[in-house]
Amino acid sequence: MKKIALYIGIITLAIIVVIALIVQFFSQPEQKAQAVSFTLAQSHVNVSIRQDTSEAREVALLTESKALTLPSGKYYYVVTGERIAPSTVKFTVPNDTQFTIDPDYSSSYLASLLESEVPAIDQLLETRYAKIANGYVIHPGKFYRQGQWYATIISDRRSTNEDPYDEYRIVLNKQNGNWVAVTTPEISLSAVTFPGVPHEILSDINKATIESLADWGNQDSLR
Amino acid sequence: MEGLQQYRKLIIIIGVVIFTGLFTLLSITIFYRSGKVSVSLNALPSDSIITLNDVPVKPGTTYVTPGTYKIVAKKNGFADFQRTIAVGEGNPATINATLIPVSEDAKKWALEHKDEYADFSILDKSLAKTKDNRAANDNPITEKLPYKNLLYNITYRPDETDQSGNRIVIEIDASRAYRSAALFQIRKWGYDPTDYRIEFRGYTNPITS
Repeated sequence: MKKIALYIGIITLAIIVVIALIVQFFSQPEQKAQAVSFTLAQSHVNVSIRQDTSEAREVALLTESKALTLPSGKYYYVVTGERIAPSTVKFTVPNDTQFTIDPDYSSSYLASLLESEVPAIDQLLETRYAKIANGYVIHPGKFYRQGQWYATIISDRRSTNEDPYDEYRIVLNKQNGNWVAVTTPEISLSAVTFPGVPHEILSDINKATIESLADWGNQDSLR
Repeated sequence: MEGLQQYRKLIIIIGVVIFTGLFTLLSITIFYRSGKVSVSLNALPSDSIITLNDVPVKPGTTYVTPGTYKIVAKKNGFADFQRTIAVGEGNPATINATLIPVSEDAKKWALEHKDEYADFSILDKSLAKTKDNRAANDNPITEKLPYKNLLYNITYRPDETDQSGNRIVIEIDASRAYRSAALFQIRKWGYDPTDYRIEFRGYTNPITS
């Protein structure tokens, strides 16, 4: 009798162990609450953290860097601010635990920088490449991220619709308050040749035309 | 021997339990990986942040459904590593992302870890040797090349500056008026000229020369 009781006990224990193993395997992503840190790299930015459910309940509203303890689940945060276009980022706890929030400025804000920054950039390019001043036109370009990147197109003055000349793309970066040309002027800028320049900037300026840059700079309707 | 007989049933039960547990875990693993392909991702520096279609992943082997994936490896001070791969059934992928140092600190780090960089490069080369079609896999644009029409000619050659042997240089032979048309053709195929070193035959940059 004692033996039977022992066997039943062992079998029960074994079943519990197997069930526990299965439950543990499937429940790994939904474990306990997790500390999630939000680092705000810019001031004047608000971050609303919400549950990614139909109710979209706001969990927290951050105006400065903070670590929150969030239960496992799906969330998203919305970043808003004076200079930026609202953006949404989805995340899952406990998979995602660290965020550095450093949003790009909005196109309209970046376009507003043209007037103040472009003269210095054009002057720099004309000094760096003497031939530009004589035979080329530097078109108003486009700012990226937080205005520290600028890309533009340089065209040949002789170019006409009937007889087009090559157009050259160049990217500049503001370092310690001064603009620096980080690429040479090229027909097509390569991410392989210029690995230090963000790929999306190279790709965007390669795609751009003189007309699309002019449209980008003329965003009064967006302001 | 009698003592062993006494615990025979117990031993069998424990064995069955362990077997059941292992079998269950194995079944779950097989179920989870069913229809997926392994993608092995490694980066140097090893603490780089790797994302697969913008989703952070840990270095090592990840299982994904067949498709096209954008792999990005990032670390402060290093140039972003970016590559798009096509993962198909029976075609597992291995990516060794070597990040190029940009900042002074990163360059210093790379110098201190030059052995790791050399090992990584050797690993990448051996992987290239084991797959003859690797360059084609990494550069699907080669399926379209060479391409010739009345206005321009687009070809490619291995990039002699690339130690891994995976990169190519796109060569465009076109008159001044049609160079941009050749670039447009590359976009039309769905490829971004930004991802390649592009050389124009018989061309000298008039601004920098």
